[in-house]
Amino acid sequence: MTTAGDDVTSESDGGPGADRDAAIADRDDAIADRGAAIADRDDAIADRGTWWTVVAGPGVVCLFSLLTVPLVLGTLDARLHSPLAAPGYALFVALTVVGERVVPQFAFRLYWPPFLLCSYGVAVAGAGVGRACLRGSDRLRGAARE
Amino acid sequence: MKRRAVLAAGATVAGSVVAGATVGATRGATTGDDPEPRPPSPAAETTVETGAVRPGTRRETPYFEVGSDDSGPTAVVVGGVHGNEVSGYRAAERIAEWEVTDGSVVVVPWANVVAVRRNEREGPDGDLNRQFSIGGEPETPLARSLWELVAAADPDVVVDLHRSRGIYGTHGRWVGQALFPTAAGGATSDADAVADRVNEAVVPASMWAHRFRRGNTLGGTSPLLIHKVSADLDTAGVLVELTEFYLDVDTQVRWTELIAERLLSRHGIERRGSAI
Repeated sequence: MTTAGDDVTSESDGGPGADRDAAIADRDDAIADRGAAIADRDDAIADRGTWWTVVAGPGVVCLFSLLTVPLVLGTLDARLHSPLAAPGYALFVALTVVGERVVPQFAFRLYWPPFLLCSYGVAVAGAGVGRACLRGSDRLRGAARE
Repeated sequence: MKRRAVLAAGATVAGSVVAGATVGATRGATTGDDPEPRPPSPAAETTVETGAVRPGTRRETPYFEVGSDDSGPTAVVVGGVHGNEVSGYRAAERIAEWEVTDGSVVVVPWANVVAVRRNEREGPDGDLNRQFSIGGEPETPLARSLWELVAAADPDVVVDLHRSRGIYGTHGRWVGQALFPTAAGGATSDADAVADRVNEAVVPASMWAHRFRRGNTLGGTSPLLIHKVSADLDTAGVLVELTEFYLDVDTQVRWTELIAERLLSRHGIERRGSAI
């Protein structure tokens, strides 16, 4: 029987205090495990976010649209060709100039799929460079603050 | 002038065929990929005479003379020498609808009408634009008839409207966005001036590859219509080549028509309601 003055936390007597300690330790372990699981999940989410940003983030979508949409409008009617089409136009012309030397009989309309693919590649690369520049400037700002 | 006699003769033989069978079809839009010839609808105030090249044969094709009077300069505009070059003959159809205030224009919109109907470059006798032998008779009856019409019109300038796949100087062997002048008749300066004017008027600065330029001079070294115009008639002529690269057919037609308008204007033939 436990009486007032007994040391219930004493490990030496193996009483109810020791059981509670063990229960607390178990609970702490469980919390730690759950925390680790949450951290893992957060890492996974962060990884997925980074991967998604690289291949289809807002920067990629914007750059891809900038390269393709104005050019498509221009090819529907030259009166819809705007200066915004200049980058896509330059890429399209460059592709056909190279392509003409490699496969002279390739019809120009067949250059659209490679053009879209190249535009996507340029958009991914451009967005990556943009993100790297932003990270670099953030780091510089942080260093300047310290 | 000689052209009136030619036109009158042609009209007697084939006027009814042209007016009935060919001209009686649909009207309106003059662009698009449909390879069928579409008869022009000339401006109400314009005098139009019609006749035919190779009348009574399967290759019979009409021509139109649009003009103000006999005293001014004369131009011959030819389209459809290659049947699959849609913008060339569609532009020629539109030119046949012009109201011309000074001079006159003889328009042959579908020179190789069989090829036009088949939407093929060559007709049954091969490539029409390789049959105009220099210094002699053209090789085939169609080429001979076309040449007789050109020569009888006694033109101040001849314009041959074509379309290419790629761009001259950019895409290997293709010749689009270029004006190829004859050595004769000051056509080289015409080509330079018109290319500059059209670039300024309609070609966006950001379409740098599509800017028109003057091609090499045609002086009679190959059996092409414009080569023969230069060598045998010693007259100004321009072979106009638009590209289909990146350009919709309507734009090709508009630009071709504008080039023809500026070229003819350089020779004193003015269109009412200029496109510029």
